[in-house]
Formats: sequence, C-alpha cells, structure tokens
Amino acid sequence: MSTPSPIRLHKELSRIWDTAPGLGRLSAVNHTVLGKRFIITAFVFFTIGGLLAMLIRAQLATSKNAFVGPDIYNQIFTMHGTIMMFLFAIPMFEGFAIYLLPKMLGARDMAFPRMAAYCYWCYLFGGSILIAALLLGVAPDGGWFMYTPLNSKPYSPSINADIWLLGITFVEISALSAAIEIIVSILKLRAPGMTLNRMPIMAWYLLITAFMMLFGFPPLILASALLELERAFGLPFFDPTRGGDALLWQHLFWLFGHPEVYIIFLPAAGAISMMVPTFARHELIGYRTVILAIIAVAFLSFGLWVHHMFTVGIPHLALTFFSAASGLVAIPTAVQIFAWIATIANGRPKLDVPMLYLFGFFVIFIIGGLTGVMVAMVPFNLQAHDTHFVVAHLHYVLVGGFVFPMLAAAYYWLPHFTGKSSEHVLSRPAFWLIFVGFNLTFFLMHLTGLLGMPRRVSTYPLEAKWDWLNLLSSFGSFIMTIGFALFVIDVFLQMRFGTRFRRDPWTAKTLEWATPTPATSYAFASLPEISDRADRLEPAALGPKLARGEGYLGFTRNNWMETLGLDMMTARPTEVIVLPRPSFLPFWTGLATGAFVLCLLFKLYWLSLVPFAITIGLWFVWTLTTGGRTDMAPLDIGHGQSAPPHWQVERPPSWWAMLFAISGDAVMVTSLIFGSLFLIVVAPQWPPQAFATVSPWLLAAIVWGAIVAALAGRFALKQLLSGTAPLAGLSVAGVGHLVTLTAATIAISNMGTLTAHSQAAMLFALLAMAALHAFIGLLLIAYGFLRHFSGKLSALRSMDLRIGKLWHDATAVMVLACVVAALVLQFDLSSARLR
Amino acid sequence: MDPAGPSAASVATLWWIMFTGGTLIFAATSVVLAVAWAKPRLLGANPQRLLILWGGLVLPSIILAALVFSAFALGERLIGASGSPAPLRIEAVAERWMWSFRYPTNGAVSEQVLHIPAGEPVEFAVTSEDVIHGFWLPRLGGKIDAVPGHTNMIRLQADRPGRYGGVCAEFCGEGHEIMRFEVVAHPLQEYEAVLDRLAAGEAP
Amino acid sequence: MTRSSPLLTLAAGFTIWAIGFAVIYAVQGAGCAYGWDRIALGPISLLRWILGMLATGTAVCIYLTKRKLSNILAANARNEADHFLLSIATCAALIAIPTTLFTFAGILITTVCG
Repeated sequence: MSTPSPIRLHKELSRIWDTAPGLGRLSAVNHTVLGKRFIITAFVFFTIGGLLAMLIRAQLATSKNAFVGPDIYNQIFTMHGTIMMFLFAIPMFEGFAIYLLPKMLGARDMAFPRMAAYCYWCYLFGGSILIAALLLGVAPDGGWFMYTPLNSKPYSPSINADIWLLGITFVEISALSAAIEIIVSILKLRAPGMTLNRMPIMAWYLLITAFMMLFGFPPLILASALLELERAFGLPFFDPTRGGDALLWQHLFWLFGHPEVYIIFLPAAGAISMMVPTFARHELIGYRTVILAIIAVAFLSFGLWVHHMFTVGIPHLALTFFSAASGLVAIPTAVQIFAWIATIANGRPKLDVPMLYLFGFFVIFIIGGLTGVMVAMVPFNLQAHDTHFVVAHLHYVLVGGFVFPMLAAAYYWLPHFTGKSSEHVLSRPAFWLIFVGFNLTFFLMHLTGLLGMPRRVSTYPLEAKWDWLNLLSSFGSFIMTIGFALFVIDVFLQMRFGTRFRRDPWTAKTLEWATPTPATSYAFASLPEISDRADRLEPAALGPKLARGEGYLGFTRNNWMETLGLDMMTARPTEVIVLPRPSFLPFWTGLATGAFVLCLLFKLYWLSLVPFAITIGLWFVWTLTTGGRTDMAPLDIGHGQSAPPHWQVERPPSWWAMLFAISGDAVMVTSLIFGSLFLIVVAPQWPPQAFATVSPWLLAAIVWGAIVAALAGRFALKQLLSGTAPLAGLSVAGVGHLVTLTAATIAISNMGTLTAHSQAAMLFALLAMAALHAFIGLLLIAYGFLRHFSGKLSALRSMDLRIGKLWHDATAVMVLACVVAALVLQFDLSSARLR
Repeated sequence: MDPAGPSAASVATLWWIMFTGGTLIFAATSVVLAVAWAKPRLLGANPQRLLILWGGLVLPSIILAALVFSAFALGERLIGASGSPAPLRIEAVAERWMWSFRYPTNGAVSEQVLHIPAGEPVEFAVTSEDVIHGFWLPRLGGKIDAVPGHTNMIRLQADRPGRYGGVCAEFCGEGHEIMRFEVVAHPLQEYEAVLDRLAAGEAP
Repeated sequence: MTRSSPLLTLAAGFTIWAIGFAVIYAVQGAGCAYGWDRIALGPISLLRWILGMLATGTAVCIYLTKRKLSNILAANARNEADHFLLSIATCAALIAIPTTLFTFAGILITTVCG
C-alpha cells in the first residue's frame, strides 16, 4: 500500500483512533486517554487519603484529644490505609503503565483496549462505593488488613466490613485484568526488532510486576470471598469455635500483602531506572544485573509474608525462614540502588527538578530499607510490631519508594502529557516542603514507637510522655500538606501556562519521546524497526521519520485500528493486531458489574442474578465485532512484508491472556487447597463432631465430566482444523461441563448444613470451585457455538476454540485437584495431632 | 527503650547495634552518592564494579549474615530454648476490652492487674475469648498475640520489683486503646503471700 | 525447546526455591502438629532430619537446573535474545542456591517447634 503524505496520514489515523468528544468520552478505549484517567483518578484518591491522614494527625496531636471518638477514628485510619494501598498506589502505576507502555515499546495501543476501559470503570465504581461509605459514616473500620475474627460477623455486625470485602475485590479483579493486559502487551506488542534484550528496562520492571500481581492477588480475592461467605452465610472459615482459624485470614492476606508492597515499589524503581540515565546523561549501567535483581526481588517477596505475623505464635524455626528471606531481599534492592549510583558516577549528571525528587527518594527509601532490615529481625520485631516504629518504616519505604519517584516521574513526563516545557518556579519550594515535612512527621515516629506507642489508638495517656513527639509529627504533616498543595498548583500552572515545545526537552533516549507531544491518539503514525537497545535511540531523528510514515503500517486500511504483533523471542512481526474501536460497552459492563456488587452488598441475592446475567450477556456482545467472516490473505504491513490478521494466527494475544488468567486461577485454587490443609493441621476444634461427606460417585462424575469436556474440546478443535463443523465436539464438551456442574450442585445440596464446622464449609468451597470452572466452561462452549453460527470459525480462524481448549484442559486439572482435596477432607487426619 | 527485664534488655542491645550500623550504612551510602555525583573519579576506573558488586552484593551479604545469625541466637535465648527449668506459669486471657489473669499455682484470679515475682522468669500462656489481642509488657520484653482458639507462650522477667505497664497491642475494635493493664512485680519472698491473698479474695 | 521457554527459564531456579519453601514450611507445620519433633533419630529429631533433607534437596535441584542451563547456554544460544535470557536465567539459578542455604539455615540451629 502506498504511504499517504504525513498530513493526510495524520488526518486518517486521527479519524480512526480519536475518541468522540462529549458523551463519547465514555466510550474511550485509547491508552493515552485511559492512562491519564487512571492517573488523575488515582491522584484524587490520594488527596482523599491524604485528608484522612490529616485527620489522624489532628487527632493524635495531643493526648486525650476529643477531636473524634474511637468509632469514627477507626473508620478514618482504616480508610486511609485502604485508599492509599488499593485506590491510589496500584491504579497510579497502572495509569503510568497504560500511558507509557505502548509508546515505549513502539506499539499503537495496549493489547486489549476495551478491557483497559472496563478496568477503569470497575476501579472508579468500586472506589466510589468505598468513598460513599466514608461519606455516609459506614466505612470499613477494622483496619486496612481486616483481621478476623474482628471482622467476622459477631464483632463487626454492620455493613462496613462487607463494603471493604466486596468493594476492594471489585477493584482487585480489575487490577488483575490490567496485569494480564500488561503482560500480553509487553510480550507481544512491541516494535519489530525489539527483542527482549532490547526492551527499555521499565518494560522488564512492569512485566515482572504484572506477574507478581497475577500470583499475588488471587489469595486476597479468595480470602475476601471466603470472609464474605462467612459473614453472609455463616460458613465458619475463620471462626475458631467451629473449626476455622483466625490465622488462615492472615496467611492468605499477607501472601498477597507482602508482594503488594513490592508491586508498588518496582514500577517506581522502573521509572527511576528510566530517569536516572537521562539526568546522568549515560545509559543505565548493569541492564542485565538489574533484571536479575528484579527477578530475585519478585520471588523473594513471596517468601516474606509471615514477617507481618511474627507475634502470632508460630514456631521460631519457621520464623527464621521468613526473617532470613526478609533480610535477603535487601540485597537485590541494594544492587539496583548501586546500579543507579554507578550510572550517575559514569555520566555527567545534571540537577533538574525530577532529579531533586530522586535524591529525596534515595535518602528516604534507604532509611526505610534499613529500618526494614531491623524489623526483619525477630527479637526486635517482637518489640516493634504494632507500634509506631512500623508505621514510620512503612511510610518511609512507601512514600520514599513510590511517592517520591512518582512525583519525579510526574515532572519528567509532564512535558510529554502536555507538549509544553516547564518553568520550575514553584517546584523546588514544593519539594523542600514535602521532604522536610515528611521527615519531621515520620522520623520522630521511630522514636515514638520505640517508646511504646501502639498503632491504631485514637488517644494515648498523658503519662506516656508521647505528647511532644506527636505534636511535632502533626506539625510536620501540615508542612507536608502545604508542599503537596504547592505541587498541585505547580502542575496546574505548567499545564496552563507552559510554553509549547516540540519534543523531548530532556534529550532522553527512549522511544516514547518519538511520538508527537502531546501524544496523538494513535501514538505512532508508523511503527519503527528497532536494531539497538531501546534506551539508545535518537527520538529527535526517529520521530519525524515515523510521522512521515516511513516505518511499518504507515497507512490506514478498512478503517481499522491496527498495530503489530510479534513473535516473543525473535521480534519478527507475525500478525496484524486489529484493535476494537471506541465503544460504550466497557462502561455498561462496568455499571452492570457494579450493580451486581451492590446487590451482593445489600444481600439481595436473588436480584443479583439479574445484573450477573446482564454482565455475562454484555461480555458476549463484546465479542460480536471481533474476528473475521472470511479467510484473508496476509496483509501488507510495509517494508515489503506481510502478516495475517491476529484471528488467523495460532496464538493471538487473547490466547496468551487466557493462559495467564489460568495461571492466576491456578494460584487461587492452590490457595484454597492449602487453606483446607491448613485448617486440618492447625485449626482448633478439629475433628468435627460429624464429618460432612460427598458420595464418591458424585465426585467421580465431577471429575469425569471435566475430563470429557477437555477431550471433547480438543476434538472440536481437530474437527475445525480439518474443515468440519465442530458441532459434535462442542456439544459433548458442553455435556461434560453440565455433568460436572450438576454433580457438584447435587453434592452440595446433599451435604446438609454447611455452617456447623469448617470441614463442611471447605468441602463446599472446593465443590463450588469445581462448579465455577465448569460454569465458565459452559459459557465458552456457548461462545464456540455463537462463533460457529455467525461464520467466524474456519480452519484458519480457530482462535476461539483454541482459547476454549486452554480453559477446558485447565478445568480438568483444577477439578481433579479440588476433588482430591475434597476426598482428603473427608478423612479424619486431625485426630493424630498432638497440640 | 527503658528495659526492665533481661528480654527487653537484650533486644535493646540489638537495637543499638542495628541503629549504629544503620546510621553508618546510611552515611556511607549518602557519601557514595554525593561522590558519584560530584567527583566520580574518586571511585576508581571501574566504579560500577566497586559499587554494584561490593556495595550492592558483598557488603550487604556479610552484614546481613552476621545480623541474621545473631538474631537467630538471640531469638533462641528469648524463647528459653536452653532448657532451663520450667518457670512459674500464669495464664493471661484477653477479651473485649479487658484482661484476666489466672495463677494455676493456687487457682487465684485477678483482673486488669498482673502480679508477678521480681527476678524470676514467668511463662505466660496467652489466649483470647473473642478477637485477636496483643499481650505486651513493653519494658519487659516482646509481645505475643492472644489468638482465640490457640494458646501462645512467652517468657518474661522483671529484674526488679515495681510497677510496669501492659497494653493490648493488636487492634481489637473501639476499646482497643483503653485495654491497658498494670503489672506489679513483687519481691520474690512476698510473692506466695500475694497469691494466697488473691485466692482468698483480699487485696494483694 | 519451544519458542517461549527461554522466558520461562528465567523463573526456573527461583521457582524451585519457592516450591521448596512452600513444602518445607508446610511440612514444618504439619510435623509440629503431629509430633514428629518428639521422635528422635540419633541426636536430632525426625522432623529436623526431614526438613534438612528437603532443604538440601531443594538446593541440589537448583544446582542441577543451573548446570543444565549453563550447558544449554554454551551449546545453543543461537541469537542475541536467547543468549541474553539464558545468561540471566543461569545467573538467577546460581543465586538461588545461596538464597536457599541462607533461608533455611535456621534448620540447623533453631528450635523446631517452639
């Protein structure tokens, strides 16, 4: 295809890629728009969380303060933590990732634009439920980590805890989906020639972080579901009087909670790894070493969770595993820090505003890391746990390790967002106010904690002599707030009054600076061929070339939104990815999902089936515009090459998404199985008076149905590939899943009462998990039929059945695992326990 | 920060060592950063090797190993692993929002005030009737959670007679901050009499 | 080797560490609950033996993996990207070994069930 003139190319691409104004903005799926939305929304939540923090400091400024009573105070500190961790930190980095990744990687958008939009709406609606609760005075008040039995029904009877469980799960499922999208986008949607060893280091950070999210969030989602089941239906997972255990929650929560803080830190570290080379005017030293370090951090972070539980009564030997690992994680972190220092040493550094914030990061984060190693030592932890020392430590690492780099990143990429260069008049005073205010507030807290002040108290006695420390801390927090306010004003002024600048005011060497600034909706008019590491590029020269259409895909076709998909390892283009146009569907689906959550919240369970069905129906509607009705010849992509559209490839992006979703699912199933084993071995009140049982015939039927479905699914694919309609295969697979679903349902209803003991509750949970897998399998079978009858399937266009096959295979394995665990649960293994 | 028992004292020592070490490391790292920024040639011809390998890997590993192993040893000592004879046992039961103490030696019970002998180790069996609480005598040693359904053990000792404070260290709802209790350490000779008086229902 | 497995190999060494970690922690919990620390095999308890074996086994598995990766790297690295990934994978497996030894060092010296 011939390349039109640059102006014409820009006009055509804009016509296809731009989001409609006005109400049309609700239909946006563009990564630039969505990225900015995530960032701004996250910042709004940060402000709310910050205001809550000010209320905390106002209350704690003096002893015996009567500013707010304990009931309100408990809501305030719970919401402060919850908002900061779930509604600010994760979405903020998601926003950066969504905005920057395609531009850094040389793609026009993320892999699943509508999914990104859906994730945003779920985030907004879930967050709004929590804020509404705050305004109505029914916010969660059991601490941001929601320990049981405090948050079980008897001790938290009202709706507050349910709001946390349902609202946060809503947001977390959307975050998990975003993680899958990030992984697929990094692995498949890069510019041709950008092999993995040429990716900008930030992409490595985000890839590994997204994998951490994939493995770290399912335990929390599972735990929240179990706790909500306990609260709503009395299933005693965490109730020590009925065979549950309070500690099961803690294990599941911290299995998520510890990786969570590294999930928060690593993207910030990625941003630092992008900014330091620019300001040092030297490329990053130790590219490979840094990747090695991030891998180590990622894995180690999953082995630390019990360090939040050193005081619950676990044997010393077990504690040493976690203590050793907690100390070890400091080493790869130190390696990264020294890599940055080495980069500075080898370069000719320049002190600009972002670099100033990075200095702030170095100081604060290193202090936080050192106190972290201190609290990793068990004997010291036994004193410092649950005191303000920990509060000081966590703020030093989170604010130092996330907020300061994000502030630096804000200044660094602001010219890219706005296309204007900055006059940094207010920026330096803002920095100093924040830096000094922060240290004044939190440094003293180390001392306060060492003097014995516990966490989460709204008043403290005069005799403890903590008054002056708290007063100074509160004073510091006011200074910090003024600093943040100045930052906001500064950013606003720069957006309105900055001078227009062509591109790349920092003379950085990465690809995102080759797009026009502010970025066009299509990011790149044509896609580059990368032949060197992506932080050694010349955006000033590359940008105009790409705008002229000299790269790949420098034309428009069929009004399609196109980008290239690659082979993961060789980075050769293998498919043209046709992305879905802007659509209101994500918005409606988000609303429907929100309605479902609200029904559950208000215990309208029968009614909730309506929005549930609508949500599923809408997901089917999403698929109507995808794929093709005829087999196509490979499409021209420029430079004399061609590639098929993505639905004609063996492993398109959605196939990978299903693979990763299954991995996350596997973690959830494994957590459930480990949870039941945990209860058998550790929970009090075992064995139960009467064991709940399931007929072995039913269990066999459950497994058998899943295996039949898997085999039939494979057969259906074989039919399709050989040119026959896959009707027989799909039908038999559907029957298989139906058998599993029915057998599980019968088994559950035969169990009688589920609330007497956790053994019955766990049995139910395992059967329900099997049933859920079969149910989703049925949905995929229905999808297969839908695709066939709408003419979207052929031997060449088989991606839908391949995706189904992944699920059916995985279901067979998971169902088998659940059934084995269910069998084990019916035997009395706990009588042999000594303690 | 003001230890009054051997457990707290050894942790305090550990703290001061870590504090000194931490301050030195912070100072050293800041100096290195400053040097790297302003006068990198001071770091030699191959600064990255020096920094990443030695500063990032070797030095932290050595410090960490030393710290972790001493922490292990201290931890072992604190749980009384050396097999010293079974000390006096007291049961601490937490509930929302107060503490009760039971003395198995003679079945005495006290509420909100804990009576222990000075100069002798005491083994506490801690549990809860409802939600998770935390049993903490800050000046005497570390804390242990009171978990419903489990009984956790901790050994503490007060060096000298006197009054000490105890708090609930795990958030347990609205009454969390008022859930304090008093600890009275009696001279060893008087302790048995104190327990007898408690059992008889008189003031100790 | 399938096309995508060089990427998976990055995780190989530490995945073994993670599985070993989960198994050792679980066995320790179960062992304490079922009293295996009270059964003596010579000077140390059965549970300590089992945990020690598991930890050593984990380290050995990682070492074997590392060796295999080194061999593949030496023989097979066709292109820049493969070589890059395999070299990181080999290093990752290498550092997973001292990580294992350090993480589980407590088995040698601390109280197993107290």
